[in-house]
Amino acid sequence: MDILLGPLKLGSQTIVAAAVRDISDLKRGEQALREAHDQLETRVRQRTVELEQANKELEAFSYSVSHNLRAPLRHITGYAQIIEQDCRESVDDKTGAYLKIITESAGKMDLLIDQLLSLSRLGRQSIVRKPIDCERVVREVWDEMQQRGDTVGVEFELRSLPIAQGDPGLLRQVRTNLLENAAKYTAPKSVPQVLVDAVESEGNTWYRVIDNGVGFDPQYVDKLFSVFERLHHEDEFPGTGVGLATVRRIVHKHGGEVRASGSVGQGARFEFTLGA
Amino acid sequence: MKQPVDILLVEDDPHDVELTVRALEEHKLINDIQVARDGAEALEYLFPPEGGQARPAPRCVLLDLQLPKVDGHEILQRIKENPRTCKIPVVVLTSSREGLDLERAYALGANSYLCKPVDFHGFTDAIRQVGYYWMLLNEPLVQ
Repeated sequence: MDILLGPLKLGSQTIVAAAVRDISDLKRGEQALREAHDQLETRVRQRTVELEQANKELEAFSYSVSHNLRAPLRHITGYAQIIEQDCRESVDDKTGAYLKIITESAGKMDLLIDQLLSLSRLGRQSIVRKPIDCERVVREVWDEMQQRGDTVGVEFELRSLPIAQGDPGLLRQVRTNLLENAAKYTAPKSVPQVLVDAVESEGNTWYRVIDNGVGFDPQYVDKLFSVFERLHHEDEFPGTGVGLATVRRIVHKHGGEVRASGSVGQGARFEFTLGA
Repeated sequence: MKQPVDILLVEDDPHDVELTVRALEEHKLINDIQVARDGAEALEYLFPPEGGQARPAPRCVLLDLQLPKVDGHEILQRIKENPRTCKIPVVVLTSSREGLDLERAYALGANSYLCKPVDFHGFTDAIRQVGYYWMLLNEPLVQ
């Protein structure tokens, strides 16, 4: 019950008027709200514990992979190379070539393990947000690629890019993966061209990397960003199929989007936003 | 008293033992290598029980982290805690590049941390450099 007392003038007399309200419904409503709030808190706490548990399991998994998958690989490579060394006289060219394939495959598998572990580590870490001079990052990445000899003959154009807010290390990785792809897939062209720019659309800044390379078949565009999925042959374009999956994961961590378009023989365009 | 053994290799995987010993012998870096195949053997070698024969400490310990019975980190800790053995350089040699392993090993006093490369030539090269550095370049403490 809610009782409100107040003076009331009735003619020459002042009386006390009482207003009595049944507020049972109100009280019940408040109680229900409190209970719902408490339940929500409990659920959030539970989910956080579950998430922390899942993260710990992922850590243990990465650790296990690190140790256990690498050892047999090392043995495969080690003994294959010992055979090559010890039996150099008696090993014919064909056998030598087979041994080399064994060693190279083991080496490739090691690289894949490394990249998968990086990808999984990526999923677990939280990002920092700092202002990033995108133009400078792109220029630095391209310069490094040039020094390695990966950009021979490529006509490169870098247009003005706005400052981004994001994790510097991770975004540098995005830039590296996209630019390395652009250089790799334009290499067969007589005049390879790579353009980096940014456009505003629907209130978002889309950072783009556009090339005139071998492109890809657009009907498979959904596979592009999946781990280990490749749309080109290994012997034409070496790669592990983790680069774009990494790009997508990083961009999504920033609350952004990534998309690709292209056609066979006529180049590709990769663009991403970074969310707020 | 016997001469100290050059290297105590603590490694449970027999293939890794063979590859490491071969790499060391290939470069003629050492004369004498002792292998302990698990943590318990390593501890028994370094800290012989009462009444057992005292041995001079090895000049260098190559320690794998993932060992059965007694974990590599624990061996590292025991070596670095004991005044008789704490000055022996311990080179951790392992497949793991995980941050936790690195941190823990350095915190316990590891002198060096090497990740075993998959490629055998890379591996023998790493072992050669380790052997050259710790056996020839680095100034040992004369006991």
